[in-house]
This record gives sequence, structure tokens and C-alpha cells, in this order.
Amino acid sequence: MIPMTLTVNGQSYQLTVEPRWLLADVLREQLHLTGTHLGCEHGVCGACTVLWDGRPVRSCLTLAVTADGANILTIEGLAAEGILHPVQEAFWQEHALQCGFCTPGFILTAVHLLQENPEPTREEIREALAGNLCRCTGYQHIVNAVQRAAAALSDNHGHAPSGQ
Amino acid sequence: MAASSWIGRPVPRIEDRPLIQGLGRYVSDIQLPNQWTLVLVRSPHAHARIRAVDVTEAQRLPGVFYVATATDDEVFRRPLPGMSPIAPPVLAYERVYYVGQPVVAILAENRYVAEDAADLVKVQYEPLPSVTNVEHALKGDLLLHPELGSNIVDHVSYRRGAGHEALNQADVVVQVTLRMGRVSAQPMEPRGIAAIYHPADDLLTVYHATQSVHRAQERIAEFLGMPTSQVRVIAPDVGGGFGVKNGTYPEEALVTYFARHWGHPVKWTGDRFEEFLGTYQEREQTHHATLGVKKDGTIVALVDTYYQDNGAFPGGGIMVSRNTARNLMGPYRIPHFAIDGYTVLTNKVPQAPYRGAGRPQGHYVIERLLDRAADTLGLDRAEIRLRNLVRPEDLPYDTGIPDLVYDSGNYPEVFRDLLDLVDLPAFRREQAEARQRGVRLGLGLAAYVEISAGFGFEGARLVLSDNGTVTLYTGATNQGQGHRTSLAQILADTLGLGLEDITVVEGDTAGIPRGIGTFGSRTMIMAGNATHMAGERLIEAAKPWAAELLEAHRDDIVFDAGHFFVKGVPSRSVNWRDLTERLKAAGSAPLTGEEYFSSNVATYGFGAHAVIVEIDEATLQLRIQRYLIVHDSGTVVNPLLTNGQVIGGTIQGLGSALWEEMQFNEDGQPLTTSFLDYLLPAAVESPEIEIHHRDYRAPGNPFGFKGVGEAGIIPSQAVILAAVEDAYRDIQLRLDYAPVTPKRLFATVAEGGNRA
Amino acid sequence: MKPPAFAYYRPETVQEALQLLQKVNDAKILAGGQSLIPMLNMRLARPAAVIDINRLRELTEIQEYPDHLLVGALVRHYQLMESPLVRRFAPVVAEAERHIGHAAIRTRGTIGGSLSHADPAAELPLLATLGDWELHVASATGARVIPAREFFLGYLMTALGADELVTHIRVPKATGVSRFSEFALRAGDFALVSAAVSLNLDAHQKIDHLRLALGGVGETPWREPAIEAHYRGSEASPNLWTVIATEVADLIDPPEDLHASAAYRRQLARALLEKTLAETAADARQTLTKGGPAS
Repeated sequence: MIPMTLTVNGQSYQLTVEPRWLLADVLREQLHLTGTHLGCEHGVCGACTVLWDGRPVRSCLTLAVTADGANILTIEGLAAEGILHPVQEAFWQEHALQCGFCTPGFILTAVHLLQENPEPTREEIREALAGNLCRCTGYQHIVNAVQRAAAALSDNHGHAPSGQ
Repeated sequence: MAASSWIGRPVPRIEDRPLIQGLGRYVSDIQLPNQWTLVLVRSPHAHARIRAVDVTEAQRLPGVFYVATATDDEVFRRPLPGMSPIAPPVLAYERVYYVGQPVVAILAENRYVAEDAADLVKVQYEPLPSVTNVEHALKGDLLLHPELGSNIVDHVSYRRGAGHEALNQADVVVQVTLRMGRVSAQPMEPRGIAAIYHPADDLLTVYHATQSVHRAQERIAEFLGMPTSQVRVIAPDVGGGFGVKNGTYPEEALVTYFARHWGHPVKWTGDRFEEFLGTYQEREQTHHATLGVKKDGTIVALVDTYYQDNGAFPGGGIMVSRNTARNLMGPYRIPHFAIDGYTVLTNKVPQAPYRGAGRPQGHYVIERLLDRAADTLGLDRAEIRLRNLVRPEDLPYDTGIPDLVYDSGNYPEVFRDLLDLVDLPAFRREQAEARQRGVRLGLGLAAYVEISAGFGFEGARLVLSDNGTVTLYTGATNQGQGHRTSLAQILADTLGLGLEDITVVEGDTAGIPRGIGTFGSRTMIMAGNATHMAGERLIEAAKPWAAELLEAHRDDIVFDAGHFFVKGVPSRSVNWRDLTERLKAAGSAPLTGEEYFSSNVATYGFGAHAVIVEIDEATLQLRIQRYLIVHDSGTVVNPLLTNGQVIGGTIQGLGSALWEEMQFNEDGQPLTTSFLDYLLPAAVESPEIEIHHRDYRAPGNPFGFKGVGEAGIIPSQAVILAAVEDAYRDIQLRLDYAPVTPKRLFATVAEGGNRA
Repeated sequence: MKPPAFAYYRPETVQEALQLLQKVNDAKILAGGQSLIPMLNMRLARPAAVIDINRLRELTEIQEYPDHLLVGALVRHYQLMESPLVRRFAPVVAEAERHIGHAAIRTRGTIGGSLSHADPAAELPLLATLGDWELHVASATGARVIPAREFFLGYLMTALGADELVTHIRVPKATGVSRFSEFALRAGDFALVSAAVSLNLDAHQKIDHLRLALGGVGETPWREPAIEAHYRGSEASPNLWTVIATEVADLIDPPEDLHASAAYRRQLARALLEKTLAETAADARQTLTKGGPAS
């Protein structure tokens, strides 16, 4: 068992973890942040995506101990004081989710995309989301949502919660 | 007072706010106090005798509570409930019949330790010869279950008119063997179940990623020998179902048994391997089909004999095979037919309904036959369809299959609308131009009927709360369809309430005593109508109270848009909130309304798809340039959700047309057991879907609802294969296997186009 | 799908890491983990120990030298994609990086990890082979330099000893115009076949520098200098690209698997090579008209 520090959604945690435990399992089972979902545990589906210092990572392909000292944002930390992030708001308005299981990974991936590329084309959105699988929506409404969020964020001149 | 209708409005979903904040509650998210984790050791062999099982080391591992094998207790050898004519034992006993069949059950403190223990279990197998395709199974030299006397477990047969003999009246007869590969539903949330037993009340509470809480309740109660009243099944948020979370599975029996036996909460969360190995699959069929047509393309007769490779146990697969027969007519007039479908057992994981459940299979066959007939006659593939589609004057049209009478719509008009949207002449010009650049364009067309519901019931129970809001309980369940919004929209109209005044509770046996569940696109039709009926009943129950408040006679009270008033005097009215106050003051029980909508009349949505594919001649890279759908959804409750269903279904269908296939080697070993090898469509490959709605109300139910969940997936394999063939018209490419992967397309083209 | 238990070491310096590699039996090096952890989760790998090198700051930089870049083994994919040095002196690397998995994979995956994993379908082993990269390898007892073409020995097999660690990668500055292309069933998947070309034209449109490499067509990235030499001095033309691509496609012996037959891979190799040659030549011509070789 190894002691470690993890900052998640702005809060610092002192943890003791077994080295083999995946970051996703530590988030879910030790911190009870169950919004990070495990869909495949081999790095393909993207449901477990979290942001590490603002960049997306697969929490199923990361040993928790490796993240010692890291700053992690999970889906639970995205809405600021009850105000939905524009990407969350857009997913809602555009019906970009059905069962919702893959949604946290999509939202965080989209947040990162819009930080890197505030005005993506539909093709660029699809390319950026290609590492996340959704079995319900057929992606079209998700692409609509990311476009909508991009527009909302540019209207806000970047004053919206930034995700980190 | 004249609030516009909620039905028909594209309202964003009520259920989304928690889900987009990571506050959903799926089975895997539920942590019961001190729960034990169940992990299974599964068979690595398609067919083998179990010589010995040694669990000593596994049992000794710290953190392991219990390791169970079939020899430990009779309970593990009991057949799974709800599977006939033969069911596997909960844990394999003496023999294993497919790779993935559970052999040993391990209870441990967490999944890490449980998997360590699984590694320590030693099972001695004696591999046996296996049957891995229907051709072998039909020889009968190796019977999976000798007690059945045959590997064929079901034969469905339909005849109309002169059947096979009618082929003599045809000018042209086309004959083809058509195959569909096995596919796997792969909802993003794998199956899972957790249970906790409360000994003081002898009550078992089960959190279950299931599409039917009441059926699960019955199975669990039967298996454990408990009254159903002592088993409460709750489907929390469920991460996609698509049919495969609706069956009987060993994990359900094990988790519930262990929870009760040990008096300790137990949870099983399947992982992705298990979703490939232990969850039922679908689509695998071989059809030997013949179509006889007149010179002008008019269909004379359809003859089809097909075999479904059902895997090792029958289960829900028989229903899929039977439903295939009911879909072979598609939207076409077929005066004579002879259909024989056989469900055949092999050493693979069983087949059971997956989205479509026979509808895609039947349509695949008739659509491919029509393409083949058109090509043989030198007739345009669109034209042959127009000449055979059921016409408005034929309605109601008796298909010749019992209880299937098409009842509404205008099939030829919808198909012509689709052709106009495609702009066929323009497409043919573009196709010729692209060819000069080494790009092949191809157009595929297919039409369909979406047969939904037509059996059973669903209920709705309403309770008027003390604050004037209404809670709706239904036996329907949610796996992402959005019923909490759509059913609320229906009820809001009935009761004249706002959506915020309505709470929909699905998937809890404690909420309503009876229910069937969500599958086969039945929920709007069944639960939707039940919801309205229950609303009417609630209004009737409220009228005496309204009469009292208005100091009038009950029979003079009318209800409109949320207000009760005396006939002719709308200016003086009371609303639901007034009534609750009165009920509270009177110390009366809350008003309730409960109704069950029961119907044997199916609904018949219909429509047509057109797809234009673009294929790079050199790499065979296939891109979908355009995907068009004209679809009749009947009465639409929420267009956002309807579009979501159609688009989602279509993209799933594209998966099974282009990439998805469960492949097995000759020993029955599955080769595609991860997302690295079994390829789901992702965002880049998925096209934009262009949907045009038609809304011919279903005459068979009060609201005119029709099913919409299968519309996207029904014609997708047919339409894609047709488009790829069209792209290679010059070499007369013939495809008779779905999916048409690049590997398969390459082989077919290399062989000159005439074999798949 | 959870990793089996292992002893975990997290050295702070390269020296410490090398001593651990020498001392600890059956250890796997954990860098980005994007290949190792799936194998652990599936329990296809069961090392007794994992040596996590993510703390080795010495290996995280890209340094410029007169004729090459020295890239630390822990440089992440996204850093390669975004680095101005890489974009300027090895632009084909930045181009190929776009195809490596997805953003989440590129956040963690490293250049050293990708090369050491030696998947024949992966992008970086192909570019290392094309660009004659050199791998700086160290152990507790010494250090050596292994040219890329001697590094990849077979499917997931390299010349790396059990006690050795790739510390840096020497990436020569591009001497020709290079392009990369690949065919994958879905965006971001491992390529069925990939092709990379490096080429220069002289003032008479004749080839004065040519390198060709293919991925996914054998157990290691494919390259054949004799063919490159043969076409030096040939006049650039679409016909020539067809001739070269056809000759190469006939030479290779690609594998068959679930997603492609050998014959299909051969056709893909021919098509990708022809296309990549044409694109590279077009770039090279543009470089010519701009005056001066590619930098």
C-alpha cells in the first residue's frame, strides 16, 4: 500500500492505495465519485475519461499511484456551484445522451477539444470524439451539442467555467 | 387555460440533469454496505467434459469468502428459469457447452482479489468435438443435448396460396443463399446486478440492469422459492439494453441466491470480456431463398428455408427465428409463400433478441431478393419496389401471416418521396463522374415495416401527492429511451399539468404490481396509452371532490386542461392543488388512478432508407456520403427523442452492415472479444442522418402511437449491401453476407465479384 | 479485467531506475502505460514488478543539436505533436502523431514506450525506421546506441536487454521531404497498413534522395535500401510511383488476420505507397520552386 496525494475537482485527498489499483477504481470506490464509468477497461471506449492537468486521460489505463500529486477533474467537478458548464448544458438541450453511461467521457473530451479549438468544424468534432464510443445516439446529437457549446462559449467570451 | 399540447414538443429530457453531472446511479455505482463481489470462472472450451475442479488454493486466498462449483449444492445445478425446452444449470455441471459458460463462482472483497482467486482455480477439462455451424449441426452426428433427440429446437412454418408450387407461374426465378454474421449488442454499460437481503422481513432487494423488473422478479422468486411479494426488483439507471438485458442469465440466479443464503450484499458487475463471452448474441442466420417474379417485376412467390445458429441453448433465440418469418414480407404484396425456419443448436453462446430481433433478418432477405430480381430483369431497383409495395387501396392489408394486418400509411408515396430526395438522375451523373477519379459511388434503397407491440399489457399507476403533483409508476423500464419525459408529456396533456408537476417512476416492482417491461419498441404504445387511461381514471376519481368544492352535482363537473368546473361555467374552477388541499383537510387517502392497457393489435410504422456510399477503388475505404430516411412514426410524443431513436438505431445497424461480427474459429473459440477486434461505429465513421417524418396515426391504439426503436436498424444491412453492389455494377458484384467488411469486399471483388 | 498484483518501484533518477532494472527480476517498465496497462488489465502480462519511470525528469525534454533532435524517452505523444522543434525539423512526426490513438492516449503515451513496445503496426517504429533514428539505451553497466533498423527484431520484440532502458532517441533533422499515410478501419485504430516516404528532387526533377517504409506488413517495419538506391536518379513521374509501389508490394510478405488478408494488405501497401510517393513528390517540387532544400 502506497500513500499518495490526489487533487480531484479542486479538493486534495490523502490516500493509501494498492499499486495495481486503477485510477478509475480509486475515484469510484475510495472517493465515491462514480460519474467516471468503466466501459471496457482496455482503453477503447473512453467512458472513463478524466482530465489530468486539463488533458484527457483514460483512467482505466492509469495506475492511481502514477497520478500521485496530479490535479484531476472528473465529471462531478465540471458544474460550478450548480451552474452547468456550457458543454453540459448543450448536451442536455441537444438530446446528446440517451442511457448516459458514456456521457461523462464525452463531455470531458469535448471540454478539452473546445479549449484547444474553440471553433471546431463538425469534422473536427467527430475526429476529437473518435476515441469515445456511444451505443445509443449515433453521435449526431453529440456533434450538435459540441457545436452549440462552442457557440455558447464564444458568446461568453470565455467567462464560462473553464473546466480546470 | 388553452395551454398548447405537450405531445409533439421537442422537450429536452427531464432525466438528463443528473446524468450530465455524473450523478447517475447505475448498478456498478451502487455500493451496498460490506458488499461481496461476484466473479465467475468461465469455460475456455466450446465443448468439454469437466473432469475435476480444484478450488482449494482459490478458497485459501485472503479476501476470498466463498468459492462455489456445481457439485457443491443442488441449487447450482438447477436449470435457469424461463428457458425452454432446455436450460443450462446455473453453473456448468459435468459438461460445458460454449466458451464463456460459467463454471465456478467466487465471492471476494473486491474484483481485484476475486480475479486473483479465479486465476487459482484449476479446472480439468476433457475437450470434446464441437458443433460450430448449422451445416454440421444438421448432420446430426453430434447432438448437443441428446435428450432432445435433435439439434433443431424449433421449426416455424408459414404457407400462403400455392406456396412453392406458385414459382411455376413466375417468368423469372432468382435463388440465393444469404448469410448474416453474428453480432453482439454491446451496450456501453455491461450487465450487472446487486442484491441485499433483509432477514427480518424476509425481503430481497435487487438492483438490476434489466429491461423488465417484473419478469426478473418472477424468475428470481421462482428460482429461490420465494413469493414475488418478497422480492423487490429495481432497475436504476441502465446503460443501454437493446434486448440483451431482458433475458434469463446465470448471474441473476447466483447473485440473488448468494445474497439470501449468506445474508450479505452481493454484487456482480460484468466486464467487457464477459459482455462478449456471456451475453447473448444475435443475427446469425443462413437463408436459402427464392423469389419468383413476372416480367414486369411483380412478385409471384417467395420461398425461404432458413437456419438460425442459436448457440448452445434455445432461450429467446426461438422468438427471433419466429419473428424473422413474420418480417419476410416486408412492405410488399406477396401472394404466395412457403417459409420454413429452423432454430439450430451449436457450441456457441446462445442467441437471443437484440434490437430488431428478426425484423432486420426478414427484411434483409426480401430486399436482397428484390435487388437480385431487378438486376436479372434489367429493371431499376427502385422500380421493382414501386411495383410491389402495398398500396393505400390494399389497406388493411392481410400479409398472410397470422395477426399481421398492415393498417395505415402510404408506402408508395413515401418511397417516391425518398427517390425525389435522392434525385436519382443527378446521382447517376455524379456516379459516372466520380468513377473517372477512381471513386466508386453506389446507391442503396430499402423499404420496411416496423411491427411493434401486439401482445400483452402495460400499466400506469398515478398518485396525487399532497403538494398537487402527480407521481406515475409504470412497469416499463428505462435504458435511455427518455420515458420520464415522454410519459410525463402524455400525462401533462391528460391532466393539464406542467412537466414539473409530474414525476415518473419506472423500473421498481414496489411502484406497481404488474408490468412487462421495455423491449420491441412497445413502451409508448403500451405504457403511453396506459398513462393516459390512468389519467382519465384519476380525473374521474377527482370529480366528486371537485363537485363538493363547487357545490354542484358530480355529473355536471367537466374537466379541461387542469381545471374542474360546472358545465357551462368555466370561470369558476378548481385545480389539482385545490383538490389536494381538500383531500388533506378531509383526511382522505390520496387520489389514485391505475389502468392497464392491453392489446393484441400490433402497430405498423413504415418507411424507406437510401444510402450513398463512396468507395476508394484502391483501398476499399468506404465512406457514407449521404444517408436519408423517410419514416412514419405515428403520433410523435417528442421529436427529439424520436430522432434519437432513429439515428441511434441506424448507426447501430451500420455497425452490423460494415464492421461488427462475432467471429469464431473452427473449435468454437470466439476471436472478437474486445473492442479492439469487435468494431463498433465511432464518430468519424458515422454519417449524418437526414430524417423526414411522416405521421400516419396507428388505428389500433387510442393515441395512434407506433414503435420507433427498430426503424433505424431494420433495413441497414440490406441497404448497405445494395449500395456497395451498385458501386460495382460494372463487374456485377454480388454480396450475400453481412457485414461487408473491407476484407470481405476485397475478397469478393478479387474473385470477380460473384462470390462473397 | 483488473491488473494482477506486482511489486511497484518508482525511481526518481535514471541511475536509480537502471539499478532497479538490474536488481529486480521479471520487471516491466511503466512509461505512459497505454500498451502495458491494457495487457495488465486483461492479465496477458503478469510481471512480478513494475518500474514506474514517470518521475525521471531527465527524460522529458526535446533538445536541438546541429543535425538532430535528442528526444527524451518520456516525451509524450502530444508533446511531439505540438513541439515547434519537431514541427520544424521532423514535421512528418507531428503529422503521424495525429493518427496515434486519440487525445487521451496521446496525453500519456510516450515515444520511448511506443518504440520499446515495437508494435509493427504503430506509427513511431515506422518513422524511426524511415528516418534512421538511433535509440540511446542504458543499463547499470553501460550505455549503447542502437540504430532503429537493428532495434526492431520481431512482433513486440526489440534488441533491448532485460536490464536496459531507452533513455533518448536521436532523430536526425529531415534531409528530404517526408510524408506519412495509413489505412485504419476506424479513425484512431491501429493501421492495417501504413506508409512513409522521404524524398528529394534535384533541379531536373530527378530523385536524389529516396526512402520508403511500410508498417503493418510484417513483424517489423519494412524498409529495403537496395530499392531506394535503385531508383535514385530516376525521373519523377506518376508512372514511376506506380512502378515503385508495385515492385514493393510484390516484395513484401504481409500477414493475415481478422481484419485483412495478406492480399488485401498487399493492395493497401501498393495504394498507400503510390499515393504517399505522389504527395511527397508534390511537396518536394514545391520546395524546389521555393528554392532550397527542406530544412
